[in-house]
Amino acid sequence: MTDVRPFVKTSASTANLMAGVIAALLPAFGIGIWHYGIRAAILVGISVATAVACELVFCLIAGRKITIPDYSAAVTGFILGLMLPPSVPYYFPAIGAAVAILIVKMPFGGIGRNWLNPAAAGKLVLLIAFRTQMDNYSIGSFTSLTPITLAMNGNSVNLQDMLTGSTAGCIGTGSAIAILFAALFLIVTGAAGIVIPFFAIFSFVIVIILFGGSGWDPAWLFVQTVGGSMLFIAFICAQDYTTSPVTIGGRILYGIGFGALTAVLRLTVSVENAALYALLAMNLTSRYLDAHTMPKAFGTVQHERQVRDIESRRRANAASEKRREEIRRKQEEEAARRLQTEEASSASEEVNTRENNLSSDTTVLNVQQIRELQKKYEESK
Amino acid sequence: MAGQTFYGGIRPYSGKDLSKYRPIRTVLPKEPLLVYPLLQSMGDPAVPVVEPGEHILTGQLIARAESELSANLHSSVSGTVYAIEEHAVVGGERQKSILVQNDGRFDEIQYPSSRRYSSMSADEIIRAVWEAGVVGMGGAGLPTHIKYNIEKRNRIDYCIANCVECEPYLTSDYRRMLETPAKLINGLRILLHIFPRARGIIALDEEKADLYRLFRKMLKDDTRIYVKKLQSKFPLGSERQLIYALTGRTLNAMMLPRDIGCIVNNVDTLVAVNQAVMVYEPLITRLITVTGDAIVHPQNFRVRIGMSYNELIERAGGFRQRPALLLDGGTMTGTKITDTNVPITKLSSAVVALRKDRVSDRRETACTRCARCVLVCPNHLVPVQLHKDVAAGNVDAFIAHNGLECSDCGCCSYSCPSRIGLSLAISDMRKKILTEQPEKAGDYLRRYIRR
Ligand code: SF4
Ligand code: SF4
Repeated sequence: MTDVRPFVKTSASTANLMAGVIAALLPAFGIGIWHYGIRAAILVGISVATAVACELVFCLIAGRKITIPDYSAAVTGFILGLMLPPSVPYYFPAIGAAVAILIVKMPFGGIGRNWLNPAAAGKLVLLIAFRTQMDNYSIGSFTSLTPITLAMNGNSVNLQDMLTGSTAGCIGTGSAIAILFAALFLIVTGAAGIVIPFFAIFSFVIVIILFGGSGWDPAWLFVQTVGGSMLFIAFICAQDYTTSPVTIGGRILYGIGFGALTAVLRLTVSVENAALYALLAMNLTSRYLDAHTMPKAFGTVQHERQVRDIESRRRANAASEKRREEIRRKQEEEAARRLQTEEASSASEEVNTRENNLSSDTTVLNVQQIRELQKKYEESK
Repeated sequence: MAGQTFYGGIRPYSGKDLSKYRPIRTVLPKEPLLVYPLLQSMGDPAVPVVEPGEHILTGQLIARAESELSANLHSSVSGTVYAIEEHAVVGGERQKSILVQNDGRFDEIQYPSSRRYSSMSADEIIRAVWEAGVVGMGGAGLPTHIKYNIEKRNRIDYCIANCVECEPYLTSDYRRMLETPAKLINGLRILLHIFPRARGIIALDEEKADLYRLFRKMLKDDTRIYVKKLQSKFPLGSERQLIYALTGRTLNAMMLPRDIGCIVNNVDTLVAVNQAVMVYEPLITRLITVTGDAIVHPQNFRVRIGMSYNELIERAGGFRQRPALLLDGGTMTGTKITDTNVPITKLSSAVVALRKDRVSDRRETACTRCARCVLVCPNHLVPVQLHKDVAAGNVDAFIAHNGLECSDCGCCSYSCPSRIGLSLAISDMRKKILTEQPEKAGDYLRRYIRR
């Protein structure tokens, strides 16, 4: 196979995109450590280490190519760690990460094949297994409920604390600033888009306005959007390459569905983890959305404007006799004028020079040399 | 009029600075033997009209287009016909070729004195183009007379001069327009003479701002030719994308530009038309950019068709070091050259020699469904899905997912972070369907047969 066109490639690779995700989330991680202490760092560390180790072991046992260097396992572990409450025991992240990698990701064929977001599914399993511990967000000085629970119970919430993340909550999902930074970073580096989060937040806000019971009070909407890891999941988890649709139409529907479902679940089933459930539910739809939103190929649907354009030109052609006469006269005038310029220009020397003139060869041609070469060639034949 | 661009596309490293400022240098073949493959266009090979041993002159017809879809072939040197036999061509195959022994004198045939196109009829012009053996030099190599020879000439609204040259590393069009702009303009005028109701558009990209100003100045008084500047992006030079960016009309792979009232020609073709019509000159020279970081003196050459790539590279100073990648054409759509002892044909456009081959030793990893390929596909396809269909060998799904609409631009392979050779797999499958299961391909064959 000689033909491997194209012979240039972007410098982006899976590994550096994944590394970009980790880099983008470092501020969120830092804020988590700042507020919740070294314990948060250890939890995330255990999560990452378990995820990587599990992937390695799975690859070795299953005889697959080792996929550690693409950082995807590390990203899964990292995101799972950031989504855990800081007060859970140290074996929680290990269980979650092991589930994420060994049950959700690898058996389906590894990166790119899993149906569910591994980190989110890992957390789901922990939620089911250890309900009370996973709902306990108090650590150190943060003993109250999470802002979203407070708000839903009708208490007032300090918005500034939600910006900086100085609230009870998961390790990395509390600070709106850190998450928006991560989102911006991913968008600027081209690692993730804006389509899914935009439509997710859009539809989420609309449903909350309609059915949330507080109208469109900005503070209330802000708490709803940032709280309960909604912002984090919309910008980070929902953009997971593998579990989101690839077509633009699919992404829009996915975003809308995710936002609306989160809002509905938040108002009915679960306050704190609505976004997580909604995400996992939407994950299951993404292959279906893909299959049903295949874009129309370029040009297979003729533009309305185009048809109009061509038609109008045809009509102009068949314009009324008088008008046509007029047009013809004008055209003739124009043609006469044009002929002058054209004649002038086509008489110019440049147009009439031949391309195969000899004079401009910079290397003087030696006939003798050619003869010799010819002789040599014939002898060699 | 539409926006200045199209959906998707990429901006690969252009590398044009290497040779952009080098004037075109004419070189004549020094080697004793020139090779003319009989098939230098899309369609059928030409039929030789000379015998071995016959003495021929520069510009003399040596092979004639017998079928409709074929182009005349002329000798680019004077000398004797040495043999008619198989010879290696670019791409590694061997093709029936006429071998001519160069006598180094370059005696020319008697050219008639130049003529005025305004007094010629459309058919005469098309005849002149046919005689000169002009083919489309933008890539596909469709004999140009076929493009012009259509029944309803009144239905053509736009004649587009494709001066975009979006392919990385190529600068010969740029130099040609800079050095002989009048030829291009005159070529376009000849085209407008054939299509009386059309407007001419000279399509340039942002990078060629100097040319834009130049053409604007030259065409100040012209009421029929417009100069347009478009966003530079690959593959802007592709017919469908160019027409869309200029006129807002869309074209699918089943249609020909003429169906929506457009004719697209690239710079080289228009200049060749000008030469053919004005001075009876057949297509025997070609502008070639020899460039890349492994070449000692990257530059633009005007060369005779039939010269070998070997000699051309030698004229550019040879290699700085052994190139890891030697290409015929640019880095996006070129092909690898394995043997440099192959002739330059009407379709050659560049030789690019690079020190590093960054792609062949790529390691393919699993697709992460990142959708980058979907975002860049200018034809609104879903390459990742098509790749899956190819892997599954599912022809029907491939067609249902519009695989036949692919224009083989390579954007998807370029932008895949997992380094998957998407476009290659897709175009292989497409070609297989077109050749082996034409009944499934239906109208898509039109582009290949062009009747
Ligand atoms: S660009 Fe490559 S990795 Fe991304 S979806 Fe397309 S094929 Fe998969
Ligand atoms: S090669 Fe085909 S599938 Fe790939 S981007 Fe180009 S048109 Fe789309």
